[in-house]
Amino acid sequence: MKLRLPHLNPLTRKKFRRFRQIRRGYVAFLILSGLVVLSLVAELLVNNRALVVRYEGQWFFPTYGAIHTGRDFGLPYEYEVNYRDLKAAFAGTDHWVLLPPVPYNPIENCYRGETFRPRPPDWAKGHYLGTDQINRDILARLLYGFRNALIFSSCFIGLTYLIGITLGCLMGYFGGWFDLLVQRLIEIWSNIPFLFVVIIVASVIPTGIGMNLWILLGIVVLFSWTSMTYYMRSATYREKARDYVHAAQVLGASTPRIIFLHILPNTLSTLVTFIPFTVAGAISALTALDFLGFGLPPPTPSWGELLRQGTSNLSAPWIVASAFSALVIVLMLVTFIGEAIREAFDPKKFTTYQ
Amino acid sequence: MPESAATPPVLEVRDLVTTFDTDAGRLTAVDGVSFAVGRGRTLGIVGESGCGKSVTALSIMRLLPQPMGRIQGGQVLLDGVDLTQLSPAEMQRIRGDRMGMIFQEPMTALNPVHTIGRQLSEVFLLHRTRDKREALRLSVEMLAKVGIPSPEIRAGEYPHQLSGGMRQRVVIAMALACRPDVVIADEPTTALDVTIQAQILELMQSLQHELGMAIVLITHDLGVIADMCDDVVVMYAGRIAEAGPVQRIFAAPSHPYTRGLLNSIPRLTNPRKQRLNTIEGMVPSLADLPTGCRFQNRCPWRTEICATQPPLIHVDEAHTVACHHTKDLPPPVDESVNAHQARADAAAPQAAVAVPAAAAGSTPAPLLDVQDLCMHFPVKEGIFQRAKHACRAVDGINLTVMPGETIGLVGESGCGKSTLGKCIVRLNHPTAGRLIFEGTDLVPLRQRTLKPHRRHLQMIFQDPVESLNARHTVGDIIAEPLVIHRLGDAAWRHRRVHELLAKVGLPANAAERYPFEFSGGQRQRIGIARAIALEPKLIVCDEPVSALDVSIQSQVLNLLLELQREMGLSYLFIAHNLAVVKHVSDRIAIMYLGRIVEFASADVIYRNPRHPYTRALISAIPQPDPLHRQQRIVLQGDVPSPIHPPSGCTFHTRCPHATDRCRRETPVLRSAGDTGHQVSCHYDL
Repeated sequence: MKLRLPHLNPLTRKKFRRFRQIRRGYVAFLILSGLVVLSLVAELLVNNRALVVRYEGQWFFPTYGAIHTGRDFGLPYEYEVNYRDLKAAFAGTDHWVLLPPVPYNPIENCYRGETFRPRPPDWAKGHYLGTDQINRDILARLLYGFRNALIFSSCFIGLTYLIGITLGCLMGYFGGWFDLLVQRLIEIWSNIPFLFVVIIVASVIPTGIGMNLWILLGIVVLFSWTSMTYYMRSATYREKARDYVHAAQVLGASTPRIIFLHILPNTLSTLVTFIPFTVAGAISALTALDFLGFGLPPPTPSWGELLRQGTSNLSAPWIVASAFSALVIVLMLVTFIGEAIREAFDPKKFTTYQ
Repeated sequence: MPESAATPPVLEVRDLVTTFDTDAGRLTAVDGVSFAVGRGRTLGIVGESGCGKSVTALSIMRLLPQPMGRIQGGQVLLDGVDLTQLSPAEMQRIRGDRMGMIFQEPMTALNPVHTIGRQLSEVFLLHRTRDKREALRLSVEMLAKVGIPSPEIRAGEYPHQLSGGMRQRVVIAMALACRPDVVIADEPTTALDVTIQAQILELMQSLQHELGMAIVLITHDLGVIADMCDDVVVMYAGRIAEAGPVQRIFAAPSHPYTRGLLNSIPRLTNPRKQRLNTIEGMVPSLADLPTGCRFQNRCPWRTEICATQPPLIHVDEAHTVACHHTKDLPPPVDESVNAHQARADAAAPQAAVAVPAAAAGSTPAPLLDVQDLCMHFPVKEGIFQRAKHACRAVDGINLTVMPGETIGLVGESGCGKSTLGKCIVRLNHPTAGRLIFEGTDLVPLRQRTLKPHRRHLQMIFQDPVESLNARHTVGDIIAEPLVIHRLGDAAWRHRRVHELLAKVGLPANAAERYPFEFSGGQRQRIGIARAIALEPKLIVCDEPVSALDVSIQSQVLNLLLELQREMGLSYLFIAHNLAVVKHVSDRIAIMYLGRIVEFASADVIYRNPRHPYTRALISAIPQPDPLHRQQRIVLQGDVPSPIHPPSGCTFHTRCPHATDRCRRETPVLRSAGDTGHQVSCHYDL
């Protein structure tokens, strides 16, 4: 596998080369990338909408398109067509339906009209990991839950790093009163108990809006950006005192130029090593909140909610087992990547003296 | 080595080979080095960085970094016992007891969390006694022996409470605690100021006299070698180039490298602003050594035979050299052996003309006029962080720089010379005084209003690694001043970068590469290219060559002089090395504790110094001539703190001529003797 890395500082290229040489981290990286790609095209793999429908000489691709009612395909109802039923109805005709490998949606009741109870894995029906206590497919919920967690953690990283880096950099660069003031504010701010705020906010949000991914993200970010400022502040302080910054000042460079072109690129390389651990933190935080019931509103698929179901239905061990293994595998992959990056970016080689 | 031949050597190294396993494969850092030192004698190992001097020392002590470093072959005999064959435990008993080591950086060689007394006691507890009180008594005795005043009190202090010179004394005390047979000193005075260096060298000599140990002195400073050593080993790229008694090496250098080294150092006695002889190129990387003679790519006498390994030839009984052409070399003529001499002669007259042009005409307006400049840093104390004291880093400086002139600024560390330089380019905002540059006072200007003046006022920094942003390509670094000042379009800037690279002697393909791919000297050239990109009128050079090796230093000095001639630049040249400053400067200011104590033309200040501090500075410089080991004026003590400077004349605490008047009255800078000679001393010495 040859990755092309054009126009990069040879030192950075060397770091990437070293990362690729750390097998465990690199394999974990490939697997996780595969999982991310799978989750991005989840609609094609796990969905109750068909991939292709051939009906009366016409092609239909319902996955990403508009809703087709039952009447569109000659069924006697006005609501969205059930493609599994459609497939059964088309059996023996010229028309045909191609369903995804797992033909279920994460929020649908797969046993309509039957009792709500967890059902063990049923390979014949395509419930490879079974169903949860309200008859929803667990594999579907895991995959879409993973996608939500990914969206959450990437937005989380983007926002916390943006705020943390900006403020930390400004604190370090300007120092003095500004630094002192912001530091004290951060200390006060980080003493506000996070969980209570989540509970309070959840209770005051008007029912019309409801708790959603973005509000939750906003709250978590509000309480998480502070840790980044500590690192950035000290790194900027250190870089600011170096001669290349003085050289730029003597040339007459403006303050934004010095911060963005000179100081930031020199601090960011270390920052990269934090990212995997932040991802792991974000995923576990979201799972924990969902587990406690303060996270995403039902019926949003989420791992925490699945874990909670699993622990309250220990007689149905497939729920807790699948949620737990998914969590362990993903966190482990992320941690392996994090370790490998840290090792690859470490300027010091292991040395001992006799 | 006639004497050492009589007594058996205490330390003998035979065919030592040391390798390092790196990403680039196995590198042979030391390749077949042999030498011997007798009891009570001093052997100097000299060479540029990367020549394997320090690795030789670490191999002898068996302190190579593991697991990369390994002694592959050869013997290190201490009184006939081969140290390379000993177990780590046996080696531990020898280190500190029979062999001591003095490190370059006294701050990092001492553990900051333990007191001096405790660290010194540890040596005794390991090798001499089990009784802690006895160990402490011995430690205090040892501290007294290395000249630390009130040793009982000092033993209870921590390293950071001592000055650099005192710390180095403690390191020496630790190395000598058990009266070792051999002391290895790896650049023991490189991190110290000249006056402190003089103290330390004198201390080492007197202790050697008393204890009779053998010293292996590793240094790049030929002056220190000439001053201290009996025998010299010149190393080049991991091999011995030349070895012999110090007088023979200095009087009849037989290897082209030794000659190059001796010729490339600026000397106080040389005429100023001449082109220095240089050794072209640089030390080859260990990963890419030429076959045969390793000096061949830099040697003016190279022929085909140099592609084969030269044998070690005996010039006389004790003097050996590894060169095929030793016999063919012209006899060493003082200062003029180098093949580049012809060019130097051609360049010299022009150099002499360039300067006095300013002085001869009807006094033109100075380019820069510094008036009563002060830079007082507040020292904050107490819980409210109020400014209680001021650190008077620069305390009332008056100075003029004429167009095309070089002003040298000399002083020991902490005297405020760098701060003054930074004030002039306005990296620091002076607290008082005026900086009149081309008729405009720069002090009240803000970032925006200052920007047009910055074009004409540039700076070259000391550390070429620190001063170049490692994340930018060399092309971006050199083009940055042009971008900042919005000069030309991209294509023009591209052409200009190539022009500048050619001007400072770098290949055009350097533009696409990154700073770390270059050696120290080349990086300094990049810094110079950046500084001249805007065609400035004044460049502040803050120790531009002190981080460089001797042969590279002369290349950079030549480049600076050449650029001055071509572009009519003025320099404010800040350095601690008086010989270097004298070589490039027209006038020299000597600074002490934030003030100028003497200011005169470069030749006058060297020939006729009037301030006792200047005299001590000049006499403290070790001369690269073993026949003239002059009587040094060794100043006692350290530079006082600029937070609480002494009353009256700030130099009175260290001045050998101080009187009561010096303690009471502050002397002013007054004219003395020759025209333009100013001195700040009450007395005419």
